[in-house]
Amino acid sequence: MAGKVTTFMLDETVFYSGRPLRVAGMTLMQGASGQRTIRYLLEDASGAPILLEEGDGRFALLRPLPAGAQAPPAGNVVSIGMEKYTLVGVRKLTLLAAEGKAPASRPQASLLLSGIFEGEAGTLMREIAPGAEAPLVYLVKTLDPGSVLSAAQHKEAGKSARRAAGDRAQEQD
Amino acid sequence: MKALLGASGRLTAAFLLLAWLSYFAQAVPAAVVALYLVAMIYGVLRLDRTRLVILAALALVTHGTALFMLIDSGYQLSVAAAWAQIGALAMALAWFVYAAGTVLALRARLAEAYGRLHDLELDANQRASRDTLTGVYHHRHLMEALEREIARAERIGKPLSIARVDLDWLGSVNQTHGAAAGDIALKRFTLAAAAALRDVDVFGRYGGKEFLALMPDTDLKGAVVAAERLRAAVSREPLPEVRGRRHLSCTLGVAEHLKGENTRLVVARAEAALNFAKAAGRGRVAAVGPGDQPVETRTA
Repeated sequence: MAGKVTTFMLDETVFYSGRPLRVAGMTLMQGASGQRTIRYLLEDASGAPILLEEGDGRFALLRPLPAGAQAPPAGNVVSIGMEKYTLVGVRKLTLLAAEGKAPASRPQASLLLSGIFEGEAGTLMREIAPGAEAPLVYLVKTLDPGSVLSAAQHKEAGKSARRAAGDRAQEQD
Repeated sequence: MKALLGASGRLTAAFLLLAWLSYFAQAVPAAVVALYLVAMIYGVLRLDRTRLVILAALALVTHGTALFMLIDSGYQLSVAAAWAQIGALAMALAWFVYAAGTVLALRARLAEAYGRLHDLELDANQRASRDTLTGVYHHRHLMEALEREIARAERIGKPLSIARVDLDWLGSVNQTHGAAAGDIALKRFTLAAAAALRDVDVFGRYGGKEFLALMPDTDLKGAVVAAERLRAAVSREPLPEVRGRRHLSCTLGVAEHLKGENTRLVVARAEAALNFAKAAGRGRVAAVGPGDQPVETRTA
């Protein structure tokens, strides 16, 4: 997969919340209007997976709900407990390329159909792959810019913090 | 930068005041020279060499102007004495500019030392088993403890459950009341949560505002009861008002370790339960039951 298309490369170390994570898998997908979406499977030293999606220069965490949480929609509404989520959009992604582990708990599908639902508790994505037994449901958390850093960016941020510590010390003198 | 501009501004004002003192108040100009040097001591401690050279030149110009204006107005001072005074001031100012280089080098070494101290502090935090802010175990220690507990549970055939715990609304607290209030909320939360657990349980910071509780010899049913006890204890802690809330709140996802399961899988199942509880509206407990069926156990 071309490095120019994706922000991070396979096996690259990235930092999220200050923790080093390895890019264990990634997929490049294309939407109906041609926009590119990249999914990264990140793993920490213990192997705990984190699913990250990049699109339009922004990152979002996809937090999977239990596989048994089907969240079937009733009309345009999905209910999780007492919370209601209303359909705000649909998305169709076609797989262009994949490397490493599949960034989901099932084999990589060539086509993904997603319903985006919004509610007071946040954004939910219900994703169906044709042929798959059950949909996957994710809680979507859009990340602030600078939340996910490459190793070089993290090093530079560390240097800045180091300089700031020195400056603060001088200010206090 | 602001501080440097401030120091330059203050010195410029001081030099103009001294020039005014020399001319209008007709203070003894030779005594005023000593005051220029006192002001320069402040400059040596606060400014870089370039700024000091500019300010020294300003001092010479303002003082020289004041002297020659005094002579023109009939003050008892010869031109030769005025030039001698300006020359003496120039030499003293040049010495101060030279001394500023030494002070700057010392300041740079001090900043470097503080930078190294900062690195060592970070390194010490990594090596220690406790999170420096909250005092509970940190991520690496937690994962090692989980591996040990899984091995123990497999060996003796006892159950083991875990709970992923997320402190709600911390971002809003930070935004509304500042990071210091967020730190206090984190400390109150960890004290209340740790007190609600048993001595044999292991509780620590998984990362950011997410925590993990390991509950040995506890099946899913017992872990859900413990998780609810923790949630209730935390919800009694006061919080600076945010979004109409006056008490802390946390969301928990509980999972029981299944035979043969590694740390990654059991943590991922507890996280899925946590995500379900968050999607269901936070401030509640959810567990992953048989067949990965989520069970919401309580509502806030």
